[in-house]
Amino acid sequence: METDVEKVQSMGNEPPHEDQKRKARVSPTAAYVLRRFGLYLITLWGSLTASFFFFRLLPGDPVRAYVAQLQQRGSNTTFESSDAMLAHYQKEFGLYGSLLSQYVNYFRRLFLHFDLGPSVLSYPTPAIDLITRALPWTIGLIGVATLLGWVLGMLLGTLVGWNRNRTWAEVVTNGALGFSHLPAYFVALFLIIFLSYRWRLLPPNGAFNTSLNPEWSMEFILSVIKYGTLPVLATVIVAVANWMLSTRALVVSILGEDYLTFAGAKGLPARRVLSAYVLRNAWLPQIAALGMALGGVVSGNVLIERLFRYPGVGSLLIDSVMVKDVNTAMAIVSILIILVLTINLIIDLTLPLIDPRVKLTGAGG
Amino acid sequence: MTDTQTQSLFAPRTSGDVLLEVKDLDVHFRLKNGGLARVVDGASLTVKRNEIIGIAGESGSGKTTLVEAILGINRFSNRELGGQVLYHARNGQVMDLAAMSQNDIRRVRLAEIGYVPQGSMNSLSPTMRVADQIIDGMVTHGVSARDARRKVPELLSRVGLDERVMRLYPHELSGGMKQRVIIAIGISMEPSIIIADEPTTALDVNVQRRILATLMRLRDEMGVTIIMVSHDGAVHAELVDRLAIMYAGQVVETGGVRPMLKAPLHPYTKGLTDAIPTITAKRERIEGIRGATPSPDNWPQGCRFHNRCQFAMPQCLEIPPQLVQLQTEHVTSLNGTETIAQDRLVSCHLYDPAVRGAGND
Ligand SMILES: Nc1ncnc2c1ncn2[C@@H]1O[C@H](COP(=O)(O)OP(=O)(O)OP(=O)(O)O)[C@@H](O)[C@H]1O
Ligand code: SF4
Ligand SMILES: [Mg+2]
Repeated sequence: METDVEKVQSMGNEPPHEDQKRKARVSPTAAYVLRRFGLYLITLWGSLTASFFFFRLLPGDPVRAYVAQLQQRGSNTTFESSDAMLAHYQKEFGLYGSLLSQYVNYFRRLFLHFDLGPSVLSYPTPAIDLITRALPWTIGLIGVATLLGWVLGMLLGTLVGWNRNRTWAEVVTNGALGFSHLPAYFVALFLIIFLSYRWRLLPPNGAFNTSLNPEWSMEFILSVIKYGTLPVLATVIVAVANWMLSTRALVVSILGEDYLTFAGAKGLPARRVLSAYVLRNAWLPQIAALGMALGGVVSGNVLIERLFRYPGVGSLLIDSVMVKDVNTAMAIVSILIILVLTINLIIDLTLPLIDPRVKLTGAGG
Repeated sequence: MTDTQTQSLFAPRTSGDVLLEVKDLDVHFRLKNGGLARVVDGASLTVKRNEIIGIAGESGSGKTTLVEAILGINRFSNRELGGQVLYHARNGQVMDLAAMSQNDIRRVRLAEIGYVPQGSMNSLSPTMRVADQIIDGMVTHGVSARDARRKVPELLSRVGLDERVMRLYPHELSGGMKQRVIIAIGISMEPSIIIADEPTTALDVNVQRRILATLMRLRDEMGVTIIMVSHDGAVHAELVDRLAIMYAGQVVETGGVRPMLKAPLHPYTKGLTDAIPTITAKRERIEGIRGATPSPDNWPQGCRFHNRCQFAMPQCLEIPPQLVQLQTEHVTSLNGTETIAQDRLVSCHLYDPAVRGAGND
């Protein structure tokens, strides 16, 4: 089969042997999409399985602890013995039988009924309901913080890279170097101490003013923004520093490229060289990097939510681990894994559409 | 390309009037250790309208640095520039490119001087289509985006490419095609000069010949002046009208290419011409020039070639020679050939009776 590109290859009146090494490049989009999607399914299965066994093999028996708690409250009236009660709840929570049968049952319930089991945390509310309530907060927090950190980091990184010989750019870069090594929760503590306890500028915890009714009113939305500022800021400061440094490194390497010298030799003004040649070649790889960084952002967010007592899935995860609520914890981790892997899949599938350099061969990461 | 075609390209078209004068150009780089790399150091060169002038010299002699300085390209912040680059514009105005602000010289690039840089394999942005990279240069020089786009197919066909190439990205092009696109960009504003820095290195021999033939054809069609940098002596021997030899940041000899190759005056030129393999000559052992290349931050005293020169005299270690027009009508070259001295400039004490004589005292 002769691809479009190969046809054009023969358009320069050059001898054919120059084109021979390009024959291997016949790579239909479909094959790439299929391969990438297969990889997605395998990774998904692998990580869900790993987290399943991780939570099942954690020490301590959640059902026994829960039953003991019920008995203390004296509410075992419907059961003949505590053994029967234990068996009942083990069945309820899906924690009976061999590990393998638990595994099979878990995924059968998940895929056939989208049922992740009841939560221990607030039985009999299904784990999925707890998560549905918490997930929007987390997505909002991560989404805003990640996009803000990425965009600001790209802009600042380009700026300091472009002005790499100026003193101020060096100062800013070194500052970013310092911030990039700080853990986000440390920044968060710092912000809470100063912005909220000392100067009383912003509330230290929660997601909105609890005296308000959650509804689509201006007042409520403003309250959400006000309460969200600190947790977002804590993540953004570190994220900006990191994106800035990686963008700077990219920009500096692009500045040394022959195509930049040639752009200048065409008489293009610096502004145009920066926007069309530097930025364009820097932001495309940074999109791929964004997907890869997402996993870290999601896990880092757990601590941030905890610190700010933000009602997202991070807080919920910690609460559920505390009471050994396997179902909820497992469900949260599964959903986060699915989220991160799916976004990466989307990025990998769209990147070849927007970046001509990305060839449809590698499976990507 | 056949040999007869090559021959027809030799038709002398040097009209004689001056287009570009490089006068005592210095391009120095301040080094981190406090030293100074005098990469181009007192280089002088005159380019005439409509000629093809070759610049030859070994790696590191400052060829690229010289032509980048002509275009005002400054890739390093540690650069120190001296001397003049006088450009005689079409309207008779003379401007010193070396003294221009970045914003002024920006207008000279492409409009007056097109550039085919060394390393053109990587000179196109990987994320822009060919057409857009041709167009943006024209637009920046005042051509409307519509007119520029309309001109792309014509430019591509001029360099022997199909117009469908315009929609491709650089990684979809072969090396030779990239080189042609670069040339198409170089001629897009119909400049007076095209500077081609090693336009054929890294291409295979067949593609090399085609690229060179394309350049020659453009010279004939557009009457453009070409400065051709190459360390391939065969390229010069076949294509250029005049030749300038660079050594250690300076031009050490210039003249018509055939007299120079037949009757070299500078010992370094002789070394270079001996190294050019000719098809007609019997295969002899090609002798390279002995000795090590000196370094830009520590050029030798006196004549910079003295440590490698088989004709060196005691004076050569002290007095730096100047690039001058010979005073005599005829001169005996280092091959023993008698030749006309007109139009020959050389920087060597062998041809300066005053210095030569001083040594005999
Ligand atoms: N910014 C700089 N600082 C110090 N030295 C430099 C700098 N830029 C170039 N040089 C020196 O200049 C010399 C190369 O000059 P140039 O590239 O002009 O040579 P050339 O004649 O074009 O060589 P080639 O045939 O390999 O292309 C090298 O010795 C290099 O170390
Ligand atoms: S000046 Fe002396 S050392 Fe230099 S090239 Fe001439 S003869 Fe050789
Ligand atoms: Mg060079």
